[in-house]
Amino acid sequence: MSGRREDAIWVAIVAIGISLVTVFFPIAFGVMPSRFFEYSCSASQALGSQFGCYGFLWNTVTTGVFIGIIGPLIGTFLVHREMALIGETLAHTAFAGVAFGTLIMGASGWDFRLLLVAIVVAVLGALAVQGLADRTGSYGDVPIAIMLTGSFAVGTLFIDIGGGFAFVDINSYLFGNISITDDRSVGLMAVLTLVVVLAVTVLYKPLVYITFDEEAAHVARFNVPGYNGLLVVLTALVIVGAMQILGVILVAAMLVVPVAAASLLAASFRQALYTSVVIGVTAVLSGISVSWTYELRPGATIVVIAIAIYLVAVYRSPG
Amino acid sequence: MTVAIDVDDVTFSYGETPAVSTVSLTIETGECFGLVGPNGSGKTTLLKLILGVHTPDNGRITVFGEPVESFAEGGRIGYVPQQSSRNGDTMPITVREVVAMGRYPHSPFGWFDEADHTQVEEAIETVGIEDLEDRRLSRLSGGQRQRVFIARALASDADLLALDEPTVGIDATAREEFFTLLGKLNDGGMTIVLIEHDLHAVRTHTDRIACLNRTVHSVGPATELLESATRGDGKRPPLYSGWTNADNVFDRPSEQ
Repeated sequence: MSGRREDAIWVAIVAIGISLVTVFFPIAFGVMPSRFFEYSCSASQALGSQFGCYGFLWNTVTTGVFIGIIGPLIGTFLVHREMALIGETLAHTAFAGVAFGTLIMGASGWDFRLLLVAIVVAVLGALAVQGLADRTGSYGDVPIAIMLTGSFAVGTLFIDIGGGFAFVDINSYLFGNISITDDRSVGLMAVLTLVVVLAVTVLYKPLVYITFDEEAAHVARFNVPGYNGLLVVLTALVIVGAMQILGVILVAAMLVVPVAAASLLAASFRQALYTSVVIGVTAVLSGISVSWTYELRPGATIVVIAIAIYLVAVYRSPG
Repeated sequence: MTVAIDVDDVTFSYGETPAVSTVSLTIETGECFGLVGPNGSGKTTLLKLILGVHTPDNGRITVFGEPVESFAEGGRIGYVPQQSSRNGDTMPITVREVVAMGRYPHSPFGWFDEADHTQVEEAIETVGIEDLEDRRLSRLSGGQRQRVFIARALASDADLLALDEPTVGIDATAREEFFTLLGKLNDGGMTIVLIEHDLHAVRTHTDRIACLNRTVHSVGPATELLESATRGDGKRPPLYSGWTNADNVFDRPSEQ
């Protein structure tokens, strides 16, 4: 990677870090002074848009930034081990959790309590996936396919039993929703982000070693099954967090596409990690604003933009 | 001489198929020990048992006097696996990052200190890859890559180096250089366990070998065992049925 591009990535990472501390975490934890929202409204009106005047849009943008960070962060440790479909599988497991939540709580759209149920079910699904992998010796595509379709089937049945698709907002579960109004969901996302970033920072070395060569990591006496289990559980947390905007069907793209693009551009693993986060945040933010402006589905818009960035990376990569 | 590795009556199966059966052998500290045998003879399995990747169904293994399952000093073992078992071909990772992994068992969390950096630096210099340290591993030749993995073992202060067919897909010159490097490390006191298909290399570079075909067929100095195997009328003893030098040419996975 050229030095100039490296510098640009570094600047972007610092900018993301600063905005997290000064803007997004305060919004997520509900401590942002209301003056901020008044300013943002008048600023966006001056630019001829109402974008800054809707409180829920700030919730969406904040959730989006969190997704753009933790999706690629976890995805980096999955993609290079050919575990990309694990994310997709856990999304479907989480869907079963959401469906179960609608059944027992009568919720009909995204809701904080629903997210909690989805997290629990997705983590259980994650442990099941890990158990299957340990038994079969690999993340084989047959057990993965059974798990993926099976949990979607179970989720569908839950919804039918609970009153059917007329009752729940199935659209926003499957395709994501741009209007996140639940303040507590955003707070939950912030907590998930802190957990994931902290875990990856502290466990960076063992995770890199296992990603590179599981067997050599074992010889070096790292607890490979333990870290694998942890990685799958963290993936479940990220997936549930990202599902609100991206939807069940597209959520895995956030774990895969920015990582694929970054690994074409960066030479070192660390640099690839930073680059994928920058690409993730860029795709989410531009996706949200485009989907708001043209009334498109946010998940689909974000994924298409991420893939456009990937194609540019293919074109620009040294080959 | 002290014992580095002691394998005592070890049996291991993948499911129903026995891979190694009643294997016993002893590797001394400072020795360069070769494991040879036909394809599917359990060489790699035995090496993985020694390294603690697999657990024996029967028998026991000690590494530096400790049972392998409770041996915790990961840094003392340097492992150079078969080329195909790593993700480095697609994953973005630099030479320096791979060598630095050698320090991970000593410093598993947090930042490296000055001593860690120095050790990585020295390991890179010892194997002569200073000019490659910022290159992506996937852009290196086979011979260069194997040097990177040796450097990783050196960075970890390993006193046991285990190599699984390290010269597959490497051209003759690089292969010679690679064995010269191994020889130097061995002279410096490093214990080496080597799986190698190239019988010429085995004869020249190892102190002793074990001929393996699920069970240990014979153990002894390479020159003696291999001489007796091809002596006289040129007939090969039964041990070598299915294992000829032609294996080197035809039976190898072609790489690059």
